[in-house]
Amino acid sequence: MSDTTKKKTMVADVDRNLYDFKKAEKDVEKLASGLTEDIVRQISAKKHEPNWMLEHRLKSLKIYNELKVPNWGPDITDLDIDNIVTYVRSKTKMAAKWDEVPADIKDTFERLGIPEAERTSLAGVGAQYDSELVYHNIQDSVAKKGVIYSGIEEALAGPYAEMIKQHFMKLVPPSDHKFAALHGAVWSGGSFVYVPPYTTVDIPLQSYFRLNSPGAGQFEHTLIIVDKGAYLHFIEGCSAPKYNVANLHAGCVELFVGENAHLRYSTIENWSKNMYNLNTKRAKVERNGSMEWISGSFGSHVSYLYPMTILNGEYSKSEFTGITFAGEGQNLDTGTKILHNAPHTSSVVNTKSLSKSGGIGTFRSAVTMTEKAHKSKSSVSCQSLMLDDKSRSDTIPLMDVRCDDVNVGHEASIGRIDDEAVFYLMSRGINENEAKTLIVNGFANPISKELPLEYAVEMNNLIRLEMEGGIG
Amino acid sequence: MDTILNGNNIPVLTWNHFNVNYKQIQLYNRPDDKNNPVITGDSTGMHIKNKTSLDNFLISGNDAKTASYIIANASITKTITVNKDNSVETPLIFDMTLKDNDKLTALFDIILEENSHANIIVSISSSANAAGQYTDLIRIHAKKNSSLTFTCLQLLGENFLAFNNAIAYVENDAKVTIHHMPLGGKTALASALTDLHGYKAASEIYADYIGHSRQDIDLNYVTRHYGKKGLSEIKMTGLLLNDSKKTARGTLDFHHGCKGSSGNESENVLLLSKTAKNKSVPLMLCDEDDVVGNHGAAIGALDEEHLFYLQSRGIDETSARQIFLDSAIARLKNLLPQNLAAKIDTYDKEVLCNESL
Repeated sequence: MSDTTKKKTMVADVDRNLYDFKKAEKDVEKLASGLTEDIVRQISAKKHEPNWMLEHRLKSLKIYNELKVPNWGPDITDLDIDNIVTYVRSKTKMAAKWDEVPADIKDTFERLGIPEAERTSLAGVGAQYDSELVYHNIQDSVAKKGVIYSGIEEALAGPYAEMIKQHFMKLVPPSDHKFAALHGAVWSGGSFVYVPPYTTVDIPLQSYFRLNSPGAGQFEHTLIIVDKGAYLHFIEGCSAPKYNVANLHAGCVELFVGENAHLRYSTIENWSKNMYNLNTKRAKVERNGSMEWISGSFGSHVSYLYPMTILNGEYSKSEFTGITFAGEGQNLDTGTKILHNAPHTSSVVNTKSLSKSGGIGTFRSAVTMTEKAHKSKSSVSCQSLMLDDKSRSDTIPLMDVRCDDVNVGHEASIGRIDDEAVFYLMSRGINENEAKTLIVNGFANPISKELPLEYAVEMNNLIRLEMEGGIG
Repeated sequence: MDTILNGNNIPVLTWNHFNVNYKQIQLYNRPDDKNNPVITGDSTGMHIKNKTSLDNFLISGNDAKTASYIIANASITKTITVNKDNSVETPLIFDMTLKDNDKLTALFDIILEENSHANIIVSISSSANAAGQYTDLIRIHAKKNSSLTFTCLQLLGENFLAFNNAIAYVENDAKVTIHHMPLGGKTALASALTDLHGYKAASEIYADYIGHSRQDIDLNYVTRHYGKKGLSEIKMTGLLLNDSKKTARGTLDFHHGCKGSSGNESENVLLLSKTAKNKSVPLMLCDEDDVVGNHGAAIGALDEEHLFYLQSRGIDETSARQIFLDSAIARLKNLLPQNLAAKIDTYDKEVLCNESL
């Protein structure tokens, strides 16, 4: 057996063990599959939420039934909402100590490294298992600064209820698209963060979403308000084991960045390859505030993911750094949208896309300069690397400029690994596989260096594993 | 009843609310007014007849309905065949002057036999304030080692709807250059589709426009690479004045098997008005790894440093804008023979002189 073949076997084992482990469903409460008014009312009743939220859910359901599935983007005809269970929960209460979390769920998060990360490098952690949070905690020192980090449903029953009501689905209204309406109808779980004015959260908060149940949907809602002059780094992670039925993720993230505030939002999306990831993320930035997105998309069968920034205040800024790796059986349609809606705003987009083993990677973007965006600037750069001739890579950017004194630039390139670079490395004694891995790592490096360390290591490992599996 | 047509369809759809996936237009059902083009220039080694020849031309892609409309309604039909091994550098010009309320549809077939080379211009114009409708389709078959430079100069009146279309089938070592100048009309659409089937087949598509008044310009250019070592370029350049608006779609589509191909796409838009609007959608679709594709776009106002330089030499901002407009006009004139350059002068005097800068 050749050395390469041995590596291939090892890769498959390691890859499966990393995220693809399943836990038997025990003590689980599941609603019927499909989407009806009765199911929406049942979800609402379980949460003892205020009346306005039930009305919001029912209004969203009506909009969902009225809207059509998008006529653009990857094919999602195999996604049948009648087969999706919109609510699954383990019969456990949310805990503030890992010891109080049921053993099998705790074991899941241990294997994903969440408690260890909390001990070493995080200011707070939220962990969601299927439809409900099972763990939420924040360091005392951060809580003493007045920072609120809790389950959003918990917050809805507390002193921040009015703040949530004022912000909930205001950036992403249910009418935005069909899956935003679906989210509005059946959302469950997710985190609420409030950072008071002029408060700096030195170390990141992290929410991790695990979907264990086959054929289920996850619809968590993340609402973050960073008040003026404050700073926060928030990390979102997600994964699921692979099943032979479709799973659905239609979460929603709404971020409000105040004057002179800064929010860095990092995501590594590593859903299983039976997942339809139809997630919506949006941020609004006020005067002189800045929003920074770091986004890595590696998992899912189909993704529609375009984090959007609304630059609503003068001198506000946005930076989007993203990488997408589409492998076998994946159709990942990712990118970003930026709306410049105030003078002197600026945005920078830098993305990398890799396609391999028949995977389809699409970069889709939209930069809009409204009539108010005087003296604003935007620069978009998108590079795609094709790793074989079975894969596909598309670039679909859009620029909508309604103001004259702006500067909008766009550049994109597409190609494969340069043979001369591979030859150069091989002439220095590096074998072809390692040479290609080095080049791909170099290609991804501008993105991976922006990721939190543990995620950067994870991304480099994923690239190495994918590359090793592709040779031979 | 009018025909409603979704023209200039983008090859891959994107968000609908930006209104860039297609351009909906209303066309007359029987646009069959007659017009005899004045033919000038060098037709040595060419055959011109008043019938079409490429009726089996395979029209695939999203704009087949536009082609069907023009084929069904064409009242002017021509075939220009360039003989084998024939090379003509001096342009052959088809000049059509339309009257107010004319509704005209033209269908031209251009066949380049092996190793032939030609330069063909179609010019369409009318008085500055005329109304009407003009649509055309130019079908090009470039056989082995042939080359064609095709230019379409559209200078119709301010109430015209104009829609210029070109499609080209390009064989081994052949090259087709299409240059659109959609300068006139209230609504000016232009599209070109080049299919590079041959080994080392090449195409260049250029569009130059000067959006003025309330003009609505809509462009859609697609190059599809099928053969190996193909080479393509799409370049759109223009400036927008007053309340004009422009949508430009450019697509490089690398099909599986087009190994060693290379494509470039670029767009430069100069905005000279606070109320002008620009949309750009530069697509790159890639189903083959052994290709190189690049695209870039720059959209903005006059560069502040350039403006400062001119102002430091005593040229005020309005004059500086006029210099950029004049240079765009001069560039177009340099690309055309003298008699057509004179038409651009007239257009400048009758249409652009009324624009505020």
